[in-house]
Amino acid sequence: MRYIRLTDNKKRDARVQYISPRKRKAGSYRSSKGEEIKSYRFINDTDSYNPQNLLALHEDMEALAEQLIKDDPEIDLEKAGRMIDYASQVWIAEDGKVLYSAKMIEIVYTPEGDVKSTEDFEDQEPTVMEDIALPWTGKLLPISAVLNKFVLLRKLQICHLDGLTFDFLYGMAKDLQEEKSMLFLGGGPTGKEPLIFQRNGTPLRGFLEGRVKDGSYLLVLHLSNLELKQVPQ
Amino acid sequence: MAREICIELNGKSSRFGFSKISREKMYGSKKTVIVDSNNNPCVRGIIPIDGDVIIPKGGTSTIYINDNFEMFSRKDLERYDSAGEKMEQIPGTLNVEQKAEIVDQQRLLDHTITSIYSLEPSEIDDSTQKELDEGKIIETSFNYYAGYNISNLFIMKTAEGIFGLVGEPTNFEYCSHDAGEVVVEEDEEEAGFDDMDFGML
Repeated sequence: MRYIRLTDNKKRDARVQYISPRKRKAGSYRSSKGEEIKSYRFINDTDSYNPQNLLALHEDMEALAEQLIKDDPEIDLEKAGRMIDYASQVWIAEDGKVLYSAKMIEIVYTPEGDVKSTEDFEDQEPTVMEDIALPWTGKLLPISAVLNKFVLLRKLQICHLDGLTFDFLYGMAKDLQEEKSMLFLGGGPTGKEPLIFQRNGTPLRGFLEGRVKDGSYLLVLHLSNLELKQVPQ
Repeated sequence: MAREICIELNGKSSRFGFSKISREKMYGSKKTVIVDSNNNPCVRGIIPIDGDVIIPKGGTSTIYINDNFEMFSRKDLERYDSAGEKMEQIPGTLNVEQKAEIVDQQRLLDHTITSIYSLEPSEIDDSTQKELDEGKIIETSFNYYAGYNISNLFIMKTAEGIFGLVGEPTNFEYCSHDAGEVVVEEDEEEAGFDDMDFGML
């Protein structure tokens, strides 16, 4: 269960949970005879037999071509076709050796695809945690204005944990419905930072929408990192 | 013929050319690269649990097999849903006229958005244009390629132009709280302090 701490317009905060939309249940494949079919991963190429290494081993390309036809050096006959179950991810350096100490750099590209800057990568800490009360910013925006300005890509449903938090969230949803508005929600204790839900997660802007019906409520946090506008040509 | 989004709203046809909008095209992008001690970029690979081989990126293939290890091509397979029902492939919707209807804002709010397109009408009916000018939202079906699931496309006009938002329903449900019935034993006589047995505590 994932938690978020929200503050209402009376400056009371409470820890509540958030859930993502349910994904479509994955189906399965069957043959035309109705047999159950499973997918498996097999080795088709190993590092020592890959084309780059073969090229590096041969100065004479004619000789390599001959050998490719005659001996099939591009196929690791012992390993190719072997099924892989569990595997560990590694990083391979230019010399083909596994990296034991990795360094990360962050490259920033312009919309045209040119490199704008290259810097050492720094971890981005989350701004949404259960012990940080996200403030009620008071910035209420009409729903139609939000829909016309931002692409609400992701959604999280905010749900209560007990009777007290039910009243807390119901009140919040009712206020938002009456105002016909969404509340701009920011991250961190001041609410001025973007919402980041996990370390190095995507920074997002949040808009809280509420509805009430027959004693129940629906409180949805709409998340966006994109404006609804034309891309400059 | 260029591929277009074709809709039919109230019996009137309209067609739109489209181009994808992405965050990368609008603001640029960031990429994290792993480098070695000489700042040369590294490539991702895997080591199987046996640890006897390094497999570079692209060094594995997925194969579909039955219990007798007979191999099948994916195009020869049939898809079944989680309930065991056979699924029919839904053809792509581009260049095929799709029924459309006007929907309210809540319908759009109840969808996560997976793709955004800028739309350029190549032929638009006057009444459809009027609906868009008035800020109405048009919903239709959308499938870029033939597949087993179909998405919804929301067409709307803003000061920036006409946009198409492809979405998947969130299926969020309203939350209610029922603490259950509180059982209170009704005594004929009103309970007093004398009835509280401190000895049993």
